[in-house]
Amino acid sequence: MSPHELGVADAARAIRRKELSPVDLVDALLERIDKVDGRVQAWALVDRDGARAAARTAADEVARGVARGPLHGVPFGAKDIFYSAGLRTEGGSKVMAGFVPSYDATSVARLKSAGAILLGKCHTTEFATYDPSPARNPWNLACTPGGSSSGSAAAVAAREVPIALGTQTIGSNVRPASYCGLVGLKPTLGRISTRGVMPLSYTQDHVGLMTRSVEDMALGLSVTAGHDPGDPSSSRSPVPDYIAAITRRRAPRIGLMREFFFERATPEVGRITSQAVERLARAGATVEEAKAPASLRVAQAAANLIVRCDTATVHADLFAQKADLYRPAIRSMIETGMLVTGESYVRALRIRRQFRRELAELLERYDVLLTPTTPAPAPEGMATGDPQFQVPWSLSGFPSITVPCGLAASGLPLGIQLASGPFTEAPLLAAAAWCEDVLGRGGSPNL
Amino acid sequence: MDHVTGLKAEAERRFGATRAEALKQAIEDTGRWMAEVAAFPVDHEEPPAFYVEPQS
Repeated sequence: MSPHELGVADAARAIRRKELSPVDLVDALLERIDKVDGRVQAWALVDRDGARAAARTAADEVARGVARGPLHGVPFGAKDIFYSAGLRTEGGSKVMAGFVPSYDATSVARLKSAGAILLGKCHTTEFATYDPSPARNPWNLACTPGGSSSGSAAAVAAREVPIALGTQTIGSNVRPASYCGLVGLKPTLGRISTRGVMPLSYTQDHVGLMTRSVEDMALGLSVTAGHDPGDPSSSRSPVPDYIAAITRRRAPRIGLMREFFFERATPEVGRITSQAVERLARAGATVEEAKAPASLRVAQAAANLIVRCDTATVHADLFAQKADLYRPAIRSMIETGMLVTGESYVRALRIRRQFRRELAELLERYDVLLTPTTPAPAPEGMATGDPQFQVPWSLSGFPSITVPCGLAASGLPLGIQLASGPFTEAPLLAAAAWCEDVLGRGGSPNL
Repeated sequence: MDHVTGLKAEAERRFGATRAEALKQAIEDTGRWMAEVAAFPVDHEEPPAFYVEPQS
C-alpha cells in the first residue's frame, strides 16, 4: 500500500515503529496532490515548505525516541476558516483576501501538539455558507463534494490527506463527509473549541472532523476535544478515552427515525438505508422505530432564523464596509438576517431549547438514533446539496456521525447518520465502530 | 401584516427597492420560517437557549 492511502491510525503506528518516515509520508501526499488535485481542487493553499520542515523535525524526533503525541508525523488539512499562524486564511471570500492570522485556531494547535503536521488549507464555501468553492467530488468530478467543508471532504476522500478539520453550523461537516464516502463527526456543542475559527453563528458553530474510519475519528477527537479558556462556549465536561471506547463496541439499541427523514429521502436512499438497518439488526442490533418529537417539524425554520440573525450580527461591521465583495448567497443571508424581528429570534431560541429537551427524552430509550445521512447522493453541479438531515443535531448541539452504508446506482456514496445525547461521543463512536464492522468501510474513488 | 409583507417593506426601507427585489426569494423563505416559528406552540415556561450555554 502506498503511504498516501494510509489512514491516521495506520500511519501513526508505522511512524512509531520506524517503518515509515514522516518525510516520506508528506512527500507521498504532496505527490498525490500533484497527481489528482488539478481535478479535485480541494486545497486553497498547500504549505509544501512548512509541511516538509515539520516532517523533518518529526523524523528527527522519532530517531531520538521522542513522540509528541498519538498523531506524531501524521499530516492533516484544515478548512480555510481555521486560523493558521503565518498561513493565508481567506474563508473562501474576497472580503478576507490576503488575511494572515498571527495564531493557530485551538483545534489546529491541539493537532500540532499531538504531533500532527498541517499540510494546508482546504477550500470552503464563502464564510462556510452556500456560495460554492471550486472543490469537486472525487467519486464523480461533475458532482459537489458538499459544503461548506467542501475541500476537507474532497481531500480526505481523494487520499490527499488522512484527516481534516471541518465545521458545521447547519449541515457542513457530516453532509460532505457522507457525499464523499467518509466518516464525519459533529461533536456536541462545546466539545471542540471554536477559538480561531471564523464564526458564522454564535450558537450553532461546531468544529468537526473527517476521516476514513471510525478508529481514525476516535484518534482525531481524542486530541482536539477539551475545555479551552479562550472559548466561552467551550465545555468543562471531562474528555473520556475515545480509543478505549471503541474497543468496547457492542450491538447498540437503535431508534430508527423513519418519520420526517424517510419521507424526505429519495426512494433509493430509503431502500439502501433500510437494507443497512436490516444488516445491523441481523448482526444483533436492537432496532425500534423512534417517534420524532413534534418540535422536529419546526427545527429547520428555527435553525435558519437563528443562523441568519447570528450571521448578520457576526458580519455587521465587515458588511458595512465591504458589502459588494460578498457573494450572493451570504449577502442575502446577512441582509435577511438584519430584517428578522427580535420576537422571531427569541421564539426560535425557545423552540431550540424545547427541541433539545424533547430529543434528550427520546434518547433515554436508545443508544443512538439512526437516519439516512442525506436525502439523496451528492448532486451534480456547483450547489452544495441539501443539509436538512443535519439540522436537528446542529440546532440541538447533540453529536452526530455518519458512516458509509453503500453506493447509489450512480456510484456515489451514501451514509447512515447516528446521533446521541450531549457529551456521549464515546458510546456514539463505539456504536459507529460496530456499524462500520457490519457494513464495511467506505471504498475508494477511482481517480 | 403578514411576515413577508413586513420584511419586504423593511428591506425596501433599508436597502432600496432594487435590492429588496433581488432579495424576493430570500424574503419569502424567511417570512415562511417566521410564520412557522410563530405558529408552533412552544411551551410557555420554555426560556430561550442563549449563547454560552454548554450543556455541561
